[in-house]
Amino acid sequence: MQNKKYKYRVSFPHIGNYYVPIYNWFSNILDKNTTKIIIPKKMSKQTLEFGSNNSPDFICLPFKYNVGNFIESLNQGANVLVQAGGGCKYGYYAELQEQILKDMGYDFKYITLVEKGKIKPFKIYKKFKELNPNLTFFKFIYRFCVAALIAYFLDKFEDYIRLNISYEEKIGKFEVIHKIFLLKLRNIKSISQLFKVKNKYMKKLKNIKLISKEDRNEKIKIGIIGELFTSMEQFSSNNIEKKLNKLGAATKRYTTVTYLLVKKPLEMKRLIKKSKKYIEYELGADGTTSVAHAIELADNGYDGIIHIKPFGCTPEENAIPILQKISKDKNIPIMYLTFDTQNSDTALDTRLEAFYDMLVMNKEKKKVDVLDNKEALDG
Amino acid sequence: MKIGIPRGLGIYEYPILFVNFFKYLGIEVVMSDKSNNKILKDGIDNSLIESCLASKIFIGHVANLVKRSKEEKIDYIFIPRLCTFENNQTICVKFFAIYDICKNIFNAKFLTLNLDYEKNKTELNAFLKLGKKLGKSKPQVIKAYLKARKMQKIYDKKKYIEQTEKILLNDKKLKVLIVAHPYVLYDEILGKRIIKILEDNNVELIYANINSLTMQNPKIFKWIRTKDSEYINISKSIFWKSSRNILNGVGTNINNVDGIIYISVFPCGTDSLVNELTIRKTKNIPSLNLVLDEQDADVGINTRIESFIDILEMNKNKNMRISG
Repeated sequence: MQNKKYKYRVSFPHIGNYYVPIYNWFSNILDKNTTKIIIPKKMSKQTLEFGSNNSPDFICLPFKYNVGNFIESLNQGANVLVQAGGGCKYGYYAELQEQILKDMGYDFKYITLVEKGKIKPFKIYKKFKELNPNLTFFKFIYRFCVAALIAYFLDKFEDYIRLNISYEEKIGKFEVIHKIFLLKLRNIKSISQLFKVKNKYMKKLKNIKLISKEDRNEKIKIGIIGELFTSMEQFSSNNIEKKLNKLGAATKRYTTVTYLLVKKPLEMKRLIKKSKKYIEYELGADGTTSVAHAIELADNGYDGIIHIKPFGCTPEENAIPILQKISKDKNIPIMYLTFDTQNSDTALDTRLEAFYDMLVMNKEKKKVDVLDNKEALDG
Repeated sequence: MKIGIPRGLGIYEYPILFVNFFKYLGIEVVMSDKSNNKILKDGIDNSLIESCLASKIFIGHVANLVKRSKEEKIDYIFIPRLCTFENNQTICVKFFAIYDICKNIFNAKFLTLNLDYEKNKTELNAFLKLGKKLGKSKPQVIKAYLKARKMQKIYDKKKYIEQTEKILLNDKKLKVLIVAHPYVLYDEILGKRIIKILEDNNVELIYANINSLTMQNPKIFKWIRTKDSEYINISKSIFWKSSRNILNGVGTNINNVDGIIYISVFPCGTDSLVNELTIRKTKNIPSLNLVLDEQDADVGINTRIESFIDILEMNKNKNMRISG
């Protein structure tokens, strides 16, 4: 195999389109002559099957996807696996995944970026230095910053698309630009180049003709809140955003990597203060943000909210009883979706269509009510 | 003043401490009824279908207290909120939120103790805040806390000594290690049911949650470092307090037992990870993984336990023949 000529074959699990900044980071800090970066295969039913066959039964869904990604990469010849970590159960994934894959007979080196909930840059640097002895600490950090910037611009780019994709005059233009942008971002060499690419494509994006403002107000606006993996990795939530866009709804989603790493820790106190009526303390992981965002969306005049979570996600389970109360108080419909290993597109389609139709009817009813009130006032 | 305490989840972390703290402050304490099918049903009705069985039972207990509160004049229902502990330990996120969840589901007055080392620094600070809400003076609260803490320690120590004696006694009985969170183990319709079946089968039981790590007092100062214990042999990165305590018990007792029984509730997130890892790391000891859910018939569990014990007995006889 051609892979054999590389000493290290590095791979990592998928999450949304963030393989782009991760690939960029790794390819710039690792030696090209000895290392190959294997982007895991695109998520498929096969990935999930590999994952769920080799994971504990009722662990949360992201674990299964991660294991599936790793197995597919290992089959392609990877021998270095990189895993991050975080709050709730995500911090413990690494140890068990390593054990499961080793028990399956694979031989590999396992790198965890987060240890016991803390990120220690120098420790991570040392781990990567073993792969590339020429790596300097400055380069390591600099390249990380570039990758973080890429993630930031990617988030901004995708945010704009999500908000406007259902408003475009000719359907399909956004998607084309999005795909080209992803390809260009992969091989960014410097910050100046990044800014050039970003400016060029942002401009192109903003030049796409949208429908008029009146028509836009007619459209249904749906906010998507919930767990981070199902929000960001569209395959795991059966492409829910695209489905909603196809029905004709504009979607808003808060959860992005930029939001989770930068904005959320800063505004945590504000969020709790805002939702003081319902919660006093943090609910763990993304539970608090789900509650605060539901309140925000309701106040901002959104027509409906969809709350998504994978099976076995405790923080979001914590949020649901509170969301139910908000839904009643603020009179905003919230649909709760749980994704598991067995999802059928048709079932989801039916539920989304029904929810969408209900929102349309609600909106029309509101309009009639307003007209009635006006007539009553005039009369 | 009268305070109601539901029997479930966080209470089992330090049962003696919580109850005695209120008693020493001169507050009457009422416990909810012991778990029964009525409480389970109330819990299921009031909580989300997907949440874990232990939390459903807890909500059932709270419902029980809410119902009784008018007749018995219960002023507050006490729900501790456990969050972070010393040495970067944390706990299942259900404990983070259970207070807020109950506040949203039930129309009653609740009282909480926010045990969050990242915010409060020490356990005492959390109790002082609770005391302030109750309108007690600082010296009163400190005295009550220290006294209650001492009681908890005496209780833990007594249990620990009893258990070590049990292990040292070289009995001919089979020895089985029970691995379960305290709130599962001591619940009438979860753990105690299984313990009864095991005791009927004449098995010596050793509990993983009783070990040298669980009886340590919480640190008063943040900078004191505690030594790593036996859990490190099984899992290095474990950061859940409850699971770490249990793993420490597994690590210390693993050479003294014939088999391990894991008891967890469906769908417990921490157990699904930790038990899986423990089973994979202790392959040479036979183990049985019992997952309890709402629709458990005793017969099914009986059969599984009996056949497991038969296997252990066969193993033991075989080993004796080889060594003899």
